[in-house]
Amino acid sequence: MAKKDGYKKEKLGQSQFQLAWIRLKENKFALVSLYIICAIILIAIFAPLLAPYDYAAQNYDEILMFPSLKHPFGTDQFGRDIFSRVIYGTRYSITIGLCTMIFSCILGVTLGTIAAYYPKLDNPIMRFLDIFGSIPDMALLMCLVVIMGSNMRNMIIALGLYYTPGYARLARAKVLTLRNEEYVEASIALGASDARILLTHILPNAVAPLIVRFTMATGGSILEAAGLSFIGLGIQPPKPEWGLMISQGRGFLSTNWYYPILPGLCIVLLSYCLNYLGDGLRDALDPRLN
Amino acid sequence: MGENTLLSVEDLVVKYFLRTATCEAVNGVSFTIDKGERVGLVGETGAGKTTTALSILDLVPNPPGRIVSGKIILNGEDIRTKSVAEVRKIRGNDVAMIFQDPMTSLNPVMTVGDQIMEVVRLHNDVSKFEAMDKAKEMLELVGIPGERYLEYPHQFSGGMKQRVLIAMALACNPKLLIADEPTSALDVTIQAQVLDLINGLRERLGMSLLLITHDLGVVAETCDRVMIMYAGSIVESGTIRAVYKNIKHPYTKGLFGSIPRLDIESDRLEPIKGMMPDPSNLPEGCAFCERCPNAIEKCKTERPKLEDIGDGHFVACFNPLKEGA
Amino acid sequence: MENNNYMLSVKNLKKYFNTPGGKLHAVDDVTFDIPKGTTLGVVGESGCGKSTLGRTILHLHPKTSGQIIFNGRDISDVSKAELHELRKEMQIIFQDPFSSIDPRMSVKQLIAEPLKIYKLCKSKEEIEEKVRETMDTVGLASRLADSYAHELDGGRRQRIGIGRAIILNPSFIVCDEPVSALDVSIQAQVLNLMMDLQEQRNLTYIFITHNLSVVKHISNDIMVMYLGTAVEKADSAELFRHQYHPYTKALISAIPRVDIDNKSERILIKGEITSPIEPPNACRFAPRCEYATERCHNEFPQLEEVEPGHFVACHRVRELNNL
Repeated sequence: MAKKDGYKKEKLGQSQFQLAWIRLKENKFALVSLYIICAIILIAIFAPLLAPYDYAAQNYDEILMFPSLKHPFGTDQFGRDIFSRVIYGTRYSITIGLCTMIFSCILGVTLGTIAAYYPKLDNPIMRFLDIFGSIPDMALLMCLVVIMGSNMRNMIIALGLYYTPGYARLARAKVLTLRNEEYVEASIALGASDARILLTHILPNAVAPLIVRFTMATGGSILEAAGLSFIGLGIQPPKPEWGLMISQGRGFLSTNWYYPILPGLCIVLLSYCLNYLGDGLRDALDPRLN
Repeated sequence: MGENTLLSVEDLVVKYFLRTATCEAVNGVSFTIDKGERVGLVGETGAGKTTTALSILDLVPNPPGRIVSGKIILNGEDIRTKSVAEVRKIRGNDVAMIFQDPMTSLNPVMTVGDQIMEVVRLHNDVSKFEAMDKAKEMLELVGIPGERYLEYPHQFSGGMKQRVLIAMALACNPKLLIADEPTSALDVTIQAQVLDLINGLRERLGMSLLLITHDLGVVAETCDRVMIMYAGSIVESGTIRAVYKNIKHPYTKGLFGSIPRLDIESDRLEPIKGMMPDPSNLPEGCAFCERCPNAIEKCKTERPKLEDIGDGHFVACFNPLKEGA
Repeated sequence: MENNNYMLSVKNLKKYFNTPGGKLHAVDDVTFDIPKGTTLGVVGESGCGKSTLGRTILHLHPKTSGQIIFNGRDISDVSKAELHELRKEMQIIFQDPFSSIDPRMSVKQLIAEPLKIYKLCKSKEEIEEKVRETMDTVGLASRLADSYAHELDGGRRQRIGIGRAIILNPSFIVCDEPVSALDVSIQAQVLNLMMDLQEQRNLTYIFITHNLSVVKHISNDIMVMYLGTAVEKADSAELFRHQYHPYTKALISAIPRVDIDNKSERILIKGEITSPIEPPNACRFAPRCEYATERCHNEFPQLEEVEPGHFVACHRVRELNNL
């Protein structure tokens, strides 16, 4: 009934995305998360300007120093400034998270859409993707990285492949439902081509759940990347990747707790914000939940 | 209020407090229903019919809705002063409701018999077997063979599901049955069957009926009295004959003019111009003023009250239609 | 043999769907003609195949068998490219103005879509101009051009649907319950609009509905369907004066009337519609018909002309109606 629709009052001419943005802005926690994520991205871009020291500069006069004004996060066993390393670390996490997601999103959505739209290809594509889903995730990632060699590019490809089936399944399910929408039939009746229907009617309406998944899975991929680096299969020293820093600092947990803990907190903060933003986006994009 | 009055609603005001606006769903509605009387409540989408009905059972979704003021007197007692537990006893026992969509009103994983039995046991202190017998009896009453007790809702067609819902509603012999668009989702021949059933049962069980619908024909065939609702207010009410034969409110006339008639040859319909006002932004005067061909200056500034024009016919209009108009 | 006065002729059209339980006979051997500029009302209850009929004519569902002749040309088996061109000529208006319109597009985009599909306009200005014209024709205020469909009520959305259907200047429109989801006062506005458009543009309609009062109002001829078959077909006024098929009689008597002085006796049909999956080759209405005989259960009745222009598919039509 119209009167229960609280958005009637907002002025005309607002698309659903504009309305979603208005709703998101009302969710304070999601908004704070968004700000934090934006701040982290800015830090990643301007890392050289923000970091007080070079991330690789060793100083054997100041090894394993506790946090102080000079070294806000302390120093590690080589005397490197952990604060500077954490700042540079944002670059790895953000790059890996975004590249992985863009890669897997494009690949997954393409495969999922093809599977949904062309029933003959549905089974081959989806069953092939199921193979990925049936291997334990760490084992799969380790295999891929070991086969391809451990560097950042390969890790992104491995993580990207790992996240592809999820996107494909989501896109396929969404496209399958949208295909049966009456407005799609209406466009067919108007004589619209498959490509037009896909690009103007189906994909734009499937974007909302994909955005939510994109946000949430970015957090996940950052964690996975940190995990891989932790076990030595990701970023290699002396690069300041957060997972790698935890790995290197774990031996010092009892004596210099800040060394592994502070990079760890950064990972937690970033992935928590991404999850919270994802939740907020889901609520904002789907007014029926309100 | 009279001896014979079952329900009396006085000056009911219900609002929905939404994020961006306050919707005035029901604005000072008053009416009574006598024992054994059949009353139709007619109006279009968003007129506040359903909200009025939900208020009687204190079922207005809260938040965002809230009954702001007014009295709902059932059997001489104001429902709004009662505790949650007491109101729950009234629901189903004294007042039962059936909804528009028979497809979604039944639990798909329970047999229909068990769903009726549950209602019986909720309100009566009886054993499971007695309740089962009662449930079977109710099914037979609405024309479904008792053997179908163990079937699940998906095995029933729409008309049959509506019958099951009627059986559930009547399981505790309510004094008032509120039927919210009970046949709108059904085909005409099935609608005829269901209306026939409701009418027959009402007579047999002697209960009152509040029938909510947008179909003036359904009301004409089922009710003694009709109330026409527009933008949260009753604009005209009276016996079927008084209202249908002597239309006073321009909105009522517009409604009649909008229905293609089977008995009259006509080339064009005469619909009401424009649309219903936004319930969160009602005009200061009469809510129908902007669409009304009869509007006078006074209509813009003052809200008309429902007034008796004799013969049990009430109308809320400063410039009602003349006789035979 | 083709009569050029007919916009559409459908001959022995069949549409079966495959279901796990067998073939579902949605449209079973339906034949009719529609003269140019007139409206054929197709009435029936849910599940009678009326919507499938409309969609099959438009090739939205592939037909099982039968012939469709559009404007003198057999379009039963057209190629994809021919169909694309044909769609400019034949359009559809959907029942549900909420689901039949892409919620993410603005009114302007929605109405302009057919123009873009057929690349009919050279410039943006031309598109704008055409859209404005069409919005005006269907009674949408120009200030709504940039609003989104989700912001509008059902009546306005249905006007968008009509605008999309008429912007290419088709000659034939299938109207699939276009007013069933609307309130009566809005319904009347939309019906008037559709009748005006028909008059101005000499449109031919198939008007599919379950609402008998509406169909009587808008149609020249009416075809009553039951379980995929046509049971009675006649001129609109004639059909409401005399019904010969027992189902039509019950259907018309079941309409609740507002005229309280002339109550007609309701004929209640027992039971509910039977399954359309692999139905026996017999009268589909026989299981619910009080006049059914042995023959009705064993033989499929063909439509026969019992009076000039009045067709009925019933074995006992003559004896029951003293014709």
